[in-house]
Amino acid sequence: MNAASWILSLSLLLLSSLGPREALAHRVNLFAWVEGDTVHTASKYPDGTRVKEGLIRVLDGAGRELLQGKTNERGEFSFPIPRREDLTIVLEAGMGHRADWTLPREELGGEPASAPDPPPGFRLAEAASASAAAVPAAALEQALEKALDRKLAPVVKMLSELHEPRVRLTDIVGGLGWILGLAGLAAWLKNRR
Amino acid sequence: MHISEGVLSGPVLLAGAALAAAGTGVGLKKLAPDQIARTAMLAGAFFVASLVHVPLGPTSVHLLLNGLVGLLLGWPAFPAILVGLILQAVFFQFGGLTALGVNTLIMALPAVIGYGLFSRFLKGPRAGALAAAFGCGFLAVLLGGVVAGLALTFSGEHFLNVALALILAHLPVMILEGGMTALCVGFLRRVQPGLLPGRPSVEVR
Repeated sequence: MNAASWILSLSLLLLSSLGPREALAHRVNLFAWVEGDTVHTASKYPDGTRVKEGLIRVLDGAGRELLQGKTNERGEFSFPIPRREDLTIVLEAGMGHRADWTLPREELGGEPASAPDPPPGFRLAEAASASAAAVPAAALEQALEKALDRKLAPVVKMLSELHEPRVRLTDIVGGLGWILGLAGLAAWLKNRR
Repeated sequence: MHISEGVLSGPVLLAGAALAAAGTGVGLKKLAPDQIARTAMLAGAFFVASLVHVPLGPTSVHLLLNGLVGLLLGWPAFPAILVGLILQAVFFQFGGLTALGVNTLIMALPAVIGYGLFSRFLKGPRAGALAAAFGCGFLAVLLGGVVAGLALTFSGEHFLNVALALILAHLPVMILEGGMTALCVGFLRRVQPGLLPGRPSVEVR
């Protein structure tokens, strides 16, 4: 019986060394996207509940905090782009719930005022302005981007909802099945002598 | 009350895993054959409890139930909680697998202590039993905060600050857990008193 219990705990330890490694504590889901000059974030628990009053911290590439804020009733928090470099957005929802999301510089750039290197869309804008002559390239590009932001907003929202893997019933039933199986195994091992 | 991966230093993770393994060994050794079904049931309850979000003030917290698991099981709470945590990590991606040992210790050690302190009152008068159950649920979360604070201290944080912050943040959870545990014990006293420790078991031998 002693051997049996050791086998059981050993196999549990072995099992624990397999499987996916998630760099997350308890899970919360954070999704962030850019719209014009603003970064929007949406935070939810895996069961779909929105994270209210969760702390959002925005870090720059070196890990310095640029700003922080709290999510509203609908789990959302928006802020103007503080700096056009790689941003890491961290959500701390308390009780060890933590998630982060990285916005690469490319997603934040595109505003002509502070983007000295022309983004990929630039040539298109230039070509268009050559035919329409009157419209300056920068203004056209800005207008295009605004229109795209508006048109893509629902798609981005949908993606954010797809992005968060929710807990499914099959997972719960599967877990309970495992427990039942382990109990059966334990009962068998204990009664085998 | 989980500690995420990448927060704790290697030695702390190893020590946590070793202690959790030892506790699990003791738990499995003390697991009487007629206790297996009950252990599995409570492991299942623990596994699912983390999905039950309770709106509390501005935020929502989820149940832990480690106090209840400990109160009804004693040492076998270790394997029950370990299995629950493994399954939560694998199926829901809650917590990390490298921090599994430490997290098991955070949840299961207070559970066993709660059993040692409170289980004797469960066969007593109703008010005392309910108070003991509340105390066990409350204390299990409180001590969990202390263990978590210790783990963080050895990874370089200042113990008092961390433990105090953890415990203050969990005060509502403690009350909630105490209430849930008292509710469950009150229910079991009426419906299935044989499940409570310290009561003459209904088994036929």
